[in-house]
Amino acid sequence: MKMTFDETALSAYIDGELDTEAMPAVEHVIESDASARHYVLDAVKSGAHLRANLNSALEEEVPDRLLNPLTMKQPEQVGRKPRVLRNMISLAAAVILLLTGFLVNEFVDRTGRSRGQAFVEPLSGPYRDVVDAALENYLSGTSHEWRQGLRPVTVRVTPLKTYRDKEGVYYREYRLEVKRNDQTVYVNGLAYRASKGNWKTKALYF
Amino acid sequence: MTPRPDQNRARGEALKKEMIGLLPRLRRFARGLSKDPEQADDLVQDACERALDRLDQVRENTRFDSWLYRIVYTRWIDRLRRQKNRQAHLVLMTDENRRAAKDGRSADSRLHAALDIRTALNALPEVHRAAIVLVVVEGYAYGEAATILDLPVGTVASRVARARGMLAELLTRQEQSRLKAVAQTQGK
Repeated sequence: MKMTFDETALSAYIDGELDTEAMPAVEHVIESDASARHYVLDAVKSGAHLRANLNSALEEEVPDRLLNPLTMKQPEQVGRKPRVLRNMISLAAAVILLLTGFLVNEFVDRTGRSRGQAFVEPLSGPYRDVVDAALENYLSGTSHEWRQGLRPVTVRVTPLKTYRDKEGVYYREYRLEVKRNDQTVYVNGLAYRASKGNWKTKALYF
Repeated sequence: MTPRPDQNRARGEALKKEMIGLLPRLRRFARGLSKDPEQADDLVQDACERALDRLDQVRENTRFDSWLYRIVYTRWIDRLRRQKNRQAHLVLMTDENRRAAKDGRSADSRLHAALDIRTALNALPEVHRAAIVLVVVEGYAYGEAATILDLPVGTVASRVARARGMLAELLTRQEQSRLKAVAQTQGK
């Protein structure tokens, strides 16, 4: 399709970067040119997809390796503490971090997931089979991998944690990685053992 | 007047606290730049270490979040240069790997939709990717993004616009492939 509009102006319009003088002209183009309308609609749609895709980073816990350097006390330039004392402080901070992480985990597990974007949807076909096999046969921390025939799709499931609720129902948290060519999507799942003995995914966290 | 050492330390601690609060957003930005979440976290870690070394360079009137984003971005560019990873931007989508997503009601289709947007984003040239992630995902105004990327505002505007056009084109192509695959499956 041949472009008859200025995509930079349309893009700036979407981002609210146009001044009031330039705006009427762009709005006129959007009203009168179907391809311009398409550009705006596509841009809004792809922007929403992009945000939804990357926002998962906001929901996840920040790994310790990123937090640790920021939570340690900055070494003093003058009158530094003896090395032994500094090591003890580091060790104490690490223990506190570990305990905090453990307590947070316990709290979250007992009160239900507090993270956002959880939803229940059926996994189907090959994904469900790979998840079932992994939850049934693999210990936490070990991965079950499956390749989809000749297609360049690899599914890897790693059970992360196992626990029981008050009624004695077993739950397993797992990490699902779907790799296609050089792209990978990571999803966390929570499954429980149903009364028939099979595993049922209760929620997926994209 | 030169600040006292205890004032410096207090300010350093305050900035560190601010950095901790910014970590989720920095991770999101890094994921938009990098092709792999682990690499993205490496990048954030690398940038945070660099930032910690340079906290004394943060002036009172510096926007701290922009300053950190700029470090993440420059570390990423450095890595790209080191890895000589600037080739093969356009990895076009293939048809055969979408057939599993024919059932739009299941979570599978969400997985593939997530892969599609990820693939399309990664297919953009790095400079366009950084611009669109900063503006569309991180919500920076063109002027702020221009400061982070060290570019003129006009260049940022045109890169965001071009990136939008390319993303839409790639996603449309993926959608058409999927519809074709569904039609073929139903025709059998």
